[in-house]
Amino acid sequence: MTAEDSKKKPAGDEKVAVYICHCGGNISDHVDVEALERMAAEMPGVTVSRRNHFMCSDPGQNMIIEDLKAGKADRIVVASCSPALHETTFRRAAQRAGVNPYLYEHANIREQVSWVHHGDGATAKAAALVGAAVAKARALQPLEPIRVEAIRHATVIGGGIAGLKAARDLAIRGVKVALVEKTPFLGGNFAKLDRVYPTQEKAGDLLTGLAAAVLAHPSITVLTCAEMIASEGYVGDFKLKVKRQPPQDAEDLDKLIQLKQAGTAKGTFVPFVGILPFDVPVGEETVDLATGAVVLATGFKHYTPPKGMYGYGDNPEVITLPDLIKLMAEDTAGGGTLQVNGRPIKTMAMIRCVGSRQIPGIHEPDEKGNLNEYCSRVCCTATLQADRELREKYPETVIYDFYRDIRAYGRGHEEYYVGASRDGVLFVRFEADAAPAVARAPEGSESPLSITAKDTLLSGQDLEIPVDLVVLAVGMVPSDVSSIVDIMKLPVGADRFLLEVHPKLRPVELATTGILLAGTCQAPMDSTEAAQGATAASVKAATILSRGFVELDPYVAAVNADLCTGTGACVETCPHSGCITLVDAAGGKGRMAKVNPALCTGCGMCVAVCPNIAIEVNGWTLRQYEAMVDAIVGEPIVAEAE
Amino acid sequence: MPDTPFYEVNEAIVLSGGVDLNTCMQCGMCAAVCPWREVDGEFIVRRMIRLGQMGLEGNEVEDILYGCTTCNKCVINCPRGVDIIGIMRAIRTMTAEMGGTPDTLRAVIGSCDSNGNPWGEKREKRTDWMKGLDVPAYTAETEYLLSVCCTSCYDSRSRNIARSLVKLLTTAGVSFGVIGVEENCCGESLRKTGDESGFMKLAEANIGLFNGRGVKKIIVTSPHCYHTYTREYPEIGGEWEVIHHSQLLAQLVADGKLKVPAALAKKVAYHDPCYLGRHSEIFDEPRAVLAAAGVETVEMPREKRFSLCCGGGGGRVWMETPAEKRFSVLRVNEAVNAGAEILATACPYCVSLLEDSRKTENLEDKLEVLDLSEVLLRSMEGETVR
Ligand code: SF4
Ligand code: SF4
Repeated sequence: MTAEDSKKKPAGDEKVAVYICHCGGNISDHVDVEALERMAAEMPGVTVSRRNHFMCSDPGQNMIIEDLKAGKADRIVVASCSPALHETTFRRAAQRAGVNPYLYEHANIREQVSWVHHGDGATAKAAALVGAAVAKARALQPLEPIRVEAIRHATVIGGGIAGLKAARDLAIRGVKVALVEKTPFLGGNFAKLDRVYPTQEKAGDLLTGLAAAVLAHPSITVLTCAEMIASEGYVGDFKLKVKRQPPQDAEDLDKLIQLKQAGTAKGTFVPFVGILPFDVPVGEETVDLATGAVVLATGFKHYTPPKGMYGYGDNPEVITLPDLIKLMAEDTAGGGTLQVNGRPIKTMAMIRCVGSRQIPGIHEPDEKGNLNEYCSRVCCTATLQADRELREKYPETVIYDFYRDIRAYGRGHEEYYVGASRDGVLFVRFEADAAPAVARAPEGSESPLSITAKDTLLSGQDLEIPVDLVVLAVGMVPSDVSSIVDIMKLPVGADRFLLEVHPKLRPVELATTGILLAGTCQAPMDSTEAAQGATAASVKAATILSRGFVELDPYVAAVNADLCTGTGACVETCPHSGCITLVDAAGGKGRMAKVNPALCTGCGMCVAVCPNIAIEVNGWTLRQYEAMVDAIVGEPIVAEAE
Repeated sequence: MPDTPFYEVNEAIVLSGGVDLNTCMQCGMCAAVCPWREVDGEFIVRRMIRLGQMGLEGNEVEDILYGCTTCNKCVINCPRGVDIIGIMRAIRTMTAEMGGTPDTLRAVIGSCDSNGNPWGEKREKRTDWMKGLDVPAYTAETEYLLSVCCTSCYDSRSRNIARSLVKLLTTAGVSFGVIGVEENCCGESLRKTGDESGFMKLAEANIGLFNGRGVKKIIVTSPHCYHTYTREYPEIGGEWEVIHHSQLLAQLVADGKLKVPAALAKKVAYHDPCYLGRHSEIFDEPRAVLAAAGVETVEMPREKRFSLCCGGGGGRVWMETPAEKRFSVLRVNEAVNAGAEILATACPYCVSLLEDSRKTENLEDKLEVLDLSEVLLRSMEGETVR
């Protein structure tokens, strides 16, 4: 990569074409686009100034192509919506006209102007932004995208529903896959469900089919008892180290003993355990993976209430929703009343939002100071599903379902709500700051527990309900992925789930190209959504790897060999290890910095610390910034009235 | 002291016919449109359902449990399609079984039991409204049985409705007849007050009587009879072709059997009775009758499905409501404000209550309250010619 010559002044013969978009009135209703067109025509270096109702339309793009082909201009500025929407569109138009796509500058006069300003001020600001863009455009130099070889291999971390689905979808698209699962089992939390909403299928049936397809696929290697311990490289060429070791987790060891005692064949689904695909390793080993993309499917954990919350831990009659699901699945007897440990449950309570939607000042943070302010999204419908199954199987068990809101948001979820209501479940609404209280019932009571609550639907009427069982609808918390976060330098949201680039525009991508998110490592979601995320991530990964190489934007740091004296300031500052290194300069002139463009994110921190201005970010050089600033602070262009 | 919910009560309400009790999600869309909210009544429909769900006390109060006029406004607004009236009726039925029916309603129930009418009047006087009129008796050859609402049989103001209708039917040459003293109240009020056995007794008597006489078609003068005959009798063996007089009059006008030579030069507002409109979805025919009468119609702010209840349904017509809490007071004022000189309607209860409020509001000079049959007859008789 060579640097743009940051000192080079525009030769003065650059020909800039400016295109102003009306955005169908979105812009032209507030910006005087005709005046803007005239003003742009007056700007230094501008040879063409035009308008269109929709620049992104074919006629709009053709206008650009024709002007460039006719030699009227050699670089362009489009003043329109946010570059996030159409920057690529217009770059491609330039490219189709045979002009380097990086001789392009964008002025956002919609989000930054017409949507927020009105009247003359709006037009003046639009003119300033267009002026700056024109000035920068004159200083642009042609760039070439960075091309990186890509290995057609992806690594999926996590063997739950999302990981399995991602692995299979990748393999179907011709990508070799390594599936890395921490425990000895496949299935993750999905294996701990009995039936899944909204189809009421058996989770075990779905899992059995999916795991069989994964295990049988020749392109997929499954590594259980495995954890990623190191990662370097970049999209197309990641080098991962994976450690396999005998299981240590007490719960896993317990499950292994259970399986052994039951004599369960390998590869068979065991409810609430998962599928043991093969024997666990007896010793430690390290596996090196050369992989082009990484799909993270590290899943979630159920929230564990602290001792004392709603009587949890103090009373054996207080259990969690996952406990209840297991209990019901394992009860084959049925009968009029639910029995727990031989006790008939005549009346029971569900309490929702346990460990979710916590409010500062009302809820206590955990020992690490965390508060789960998010809605866990799945507990509502899962509780409704349990309500319905209970009322159907044990019609004599009365259920009081304490809720803050019922968020039955998905397709088919509302039906569970209506159904549970019709089945006679009593819903009691509570305010976050007046949650129901669970206590042991006084001596001599028929039921072991007593719940006191306020019925907000009866103007806060105090209620006291004797109950035999309390079920806490616990939410989701992210799995502990701190080591992966550290190793790969991943962004984590305030909710401690992994954070995508943009929830709508790049919903399964991380800022580091080639690392993708699938399922509940990203946010609370149900298995339907986790599967959707997995498919999206696998398609993204497959697309990245499909051409055998990856093209990256050239906005990366580049070193000017003439100016670099090898101080190493940039090496220390760069947040991406291995991105800048010091190498011997040509001709024995000491040391100089060298950038690995595939690792550089163009953050510009190195530019700030270089004493010699010997390192710059291509496409955003200091000279280009100066040109923009000069244009903005210079005399405003006044358009002559028609 | 905290209260402990009593789920058995919830189950009992469901078993007594309040099948949708638990389907209610307590959104309050019902109470939001309930006319009681306009007069700040004690009765809050959502709360009544909630107390029922939780099996808690609080509904037994007369002004709460017996507040509902069964106007159906909440039902058509409920996003869950809850049969709210069914729930209310179930709770009243349970209350009745425990002897909790209010005294005023007990008198009505007693009269229905002994006289076959809620008016506390003798059965023999049922035909007094016919005096001086030639009303044919129902025979095997008659096409329509004219089933006159008890109110129009006994109430002096209301009798004019039946009399007007008879004149119109006679003019149009309709084959109709009255059975007379053997007829009973349809029982609508009794059922709504929770007296299920009383209702069944009346219903069975009527069904036996009508079927015994070979009745095939019935003209009713009250939307309440219409509702009962069409929605409730069929399950217990009473199935006839039932027509409300507004429908028949519209048909007679359309067929040219009733000719209206002159127009009645009055501004008329039409009040949709709950049981004709919202319950039975009959909105157009009454308006067609007014159009035929040639009146100038003016519109009140709420009409058709959004019409305001007069306050007389669900047994309320037999109970006392303080003047400041009467929906009919709001309604007559609405009519006057809309510029109406006549407030026309098609239900004996509506006529009674609106008449009453017209008097208490001192609107006698400004507003008349008339049944459609009365409006049409007046215009045919050329009372005020334009
Ligand atoms: S899904 Fe329901 S129970 Fe779970 S956190 Fe959200 S609102 Fe609460
Ligand atoms: S509108 Fe329906 S669901 Fe809502 S509170 Fe009333 S009865 Fe219940």
